[in-house]
Amino acid sequence: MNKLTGKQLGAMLLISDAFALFCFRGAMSLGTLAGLCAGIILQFLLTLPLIYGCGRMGNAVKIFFSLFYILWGGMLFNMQWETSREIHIPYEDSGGTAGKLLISGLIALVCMYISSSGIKAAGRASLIAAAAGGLCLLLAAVSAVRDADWENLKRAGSGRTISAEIIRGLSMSGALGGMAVLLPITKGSRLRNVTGYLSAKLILTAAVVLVSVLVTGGIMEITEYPAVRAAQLSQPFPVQRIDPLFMIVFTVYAVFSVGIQAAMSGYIIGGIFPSAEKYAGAVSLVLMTGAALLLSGVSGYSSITAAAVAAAVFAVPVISCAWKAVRERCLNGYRQ
Amino acid sequence: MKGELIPELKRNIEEIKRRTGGSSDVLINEFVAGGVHCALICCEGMVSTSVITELIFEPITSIPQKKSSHELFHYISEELLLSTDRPEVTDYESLFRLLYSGFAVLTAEGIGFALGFGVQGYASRGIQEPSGEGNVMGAHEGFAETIRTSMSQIRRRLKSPELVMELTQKGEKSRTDLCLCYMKDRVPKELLRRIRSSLDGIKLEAILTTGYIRPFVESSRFELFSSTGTTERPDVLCSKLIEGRVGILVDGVPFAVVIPRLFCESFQTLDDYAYKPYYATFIRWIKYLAFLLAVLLPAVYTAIVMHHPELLNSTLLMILVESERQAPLSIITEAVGVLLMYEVIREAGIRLPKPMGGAVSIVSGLIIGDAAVKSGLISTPLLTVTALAVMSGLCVPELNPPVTILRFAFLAAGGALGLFGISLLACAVLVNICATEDYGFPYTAPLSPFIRSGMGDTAIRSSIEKMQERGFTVEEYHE
Repeated sequence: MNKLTGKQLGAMLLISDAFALFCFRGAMSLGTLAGLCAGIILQFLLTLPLIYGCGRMGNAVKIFFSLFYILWGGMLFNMQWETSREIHIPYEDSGGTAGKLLISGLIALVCMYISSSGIKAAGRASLIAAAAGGLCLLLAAVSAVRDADWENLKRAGSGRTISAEIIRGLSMSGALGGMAVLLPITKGSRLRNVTGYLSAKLILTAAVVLVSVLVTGGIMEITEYPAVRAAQLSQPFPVQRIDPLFMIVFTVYAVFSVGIQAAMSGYIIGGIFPSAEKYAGAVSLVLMTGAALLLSGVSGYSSITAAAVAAAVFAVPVISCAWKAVRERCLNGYRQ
Repeated sequence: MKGELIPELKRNIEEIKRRTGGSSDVLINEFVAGGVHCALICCEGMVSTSVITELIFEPITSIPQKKSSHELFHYISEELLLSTDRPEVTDYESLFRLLYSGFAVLTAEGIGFALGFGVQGYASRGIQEPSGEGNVMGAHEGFAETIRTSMSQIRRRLKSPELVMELTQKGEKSRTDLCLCYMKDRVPKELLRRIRSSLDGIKLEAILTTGYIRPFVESSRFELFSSTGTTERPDVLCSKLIEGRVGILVDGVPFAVVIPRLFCESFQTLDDYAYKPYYATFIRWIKYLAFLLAVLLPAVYTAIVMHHPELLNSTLLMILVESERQAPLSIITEAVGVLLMYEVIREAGIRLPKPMGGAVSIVSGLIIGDAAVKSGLISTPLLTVTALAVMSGLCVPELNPPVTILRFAFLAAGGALGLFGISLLACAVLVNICATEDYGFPYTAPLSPFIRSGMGDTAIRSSIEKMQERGFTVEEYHE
């Protein structure tokens, strides 16, 4: 299979991270910023086994990752469902639950198309989408700076400890799990690719949290989605509103983050059952919808989610590596 | 069809007549040369009669007496040298192929083969200015319908032994000449092998235009944009060949197919390299903007007016409200109507005889457009937006078919779901474009996969020296 480039890998994972940040629920503070940034450094340590070649997939590991992507995709679906309450999407508001279902259905349809086009196409498209979205976010951030109140840095408080924030950061980093599938098919040095991606994630996280705290710090207690609220409050013009532009980025990132999970899951399922390769993406998406229904109402920011992410990035590759080594040693002993 | 030539002249002629069904354009001239009964067969309209008379009949009838037809043919072939191109044919299939390619075929009593003489002289359109690829500073010369003329146009520009032009015939009935052109030192070998294999897979009765062969050399999956391009300019094809691409000429068609084609190439013209880099870069960005306007402007206008009026400032909003208030139809109906009307007028303009084209412009522009606005059927801002979108589409004529369809699709999405709908559709279109790939060359290169060196002729137009230093070949983009 032709490989992805480091930039495409970074874009695919960053889109998912950015979307999770947009959907970030609950108060943010400087402590959150510190916790999330420290979490990213911890994530780098967790990915070391993958960087150094662990994680060659046997069927059991493949099934684990496929399930992981389906569950994470389901959570992303839920995030989109919940957060879209805050964002004005035509028809959705007026259509009630039917409208919401229609909107989610349309998103699912596009996700299905993304997953059916394969990982390579998704990677190429992600790079362009991430770049265009990044430009829009930069504009939003610049306009937010005008409305920023630096006193908010002191005022805003999340009421959580640093370790709680690290766990919260890890729990919204399901994209990391994608490395197990994407790293082996990415060109170039793994270390360079991962550090590039995590550095970009660090900058993105810092920018989004900082802007959110600066703009919404004064009303943090009554703000459910700080990133969305910050975008809504940051208006560069006196008589015009630009929040529909944020909606465009939100939509594009939502579609890509779910679509990429479906594509990765489909890739794995297709590897296990080659005859089902054509429909694997669609099957994954259906399963994701089921997962979204199962997980609806469940808070994503829990230690369980964080543990699942850590397992996907660290534990499973290490165990699979160790298992392989033990098995090879046993086989060698048997041959001798 | 295949069958050995009969060595008996009378039966041979009868067989030819039988096989051609007595077609009126097949002329058979029987005569005696060197004491041997001969026949010269040619196809009327495909050969030059003056050339036949001067170069074949006159020398052939003054041949001294020969002992046998074999001696006669040996004399004609080895000593008389009637034309530069004089293949020998032993079967009817080759005989008819030559006959219908403008050769005169000489056959004689008691001999099982015939001699062909290249005396082509069919009427064809001369070299003219390309109609669809306008150019200010470059050559004003387009390909001709005759494949040999087109081949000579390329050869005149690339006098290098590295340029290879391979002629083959395809089409069970049409036997159309195809010419595969490439620079043997630049073309990726795998690309050439795969294109040859694709061409071998062509099973068609006739090839009448490049559109017949493009599906065979393109991916079979649904692609909005085509991963093979066409050009009617020999200079453009030469520049592509130098970059390691492959060109295919089709006899009877003044266009060449270029493989592979990238998205960014649709925005490049030969004029870009004639202007100063800063101006060429400016023009290129104008074309990128024009492409976006052509696809998105009516949709974004509709979406903003219908769903996101908060994006407008109060003055602009009031102007739009005032004009739309007077229009009897909904904005989306108006927009679809105007765009459909434009497509009808455009199609009429293309199909009508040229002298009537002006009348179409007058009727459409002055009468329909003016009347529609004055009667209040269509609002002026919407008509302005639509006209701007349509005009923008003309900046990148090669992309006009997908742009037209996408304009309608985005309009529907924007009208129904606002910017959300546009974003959703944009995602699907983006993925479709990114999935477009032929022979391992991604259509979106060098944007994604991002190739920094490729930006020198994509985001900007760097100097010719820099581009020359880079020594670009398309293989750089292979994945």
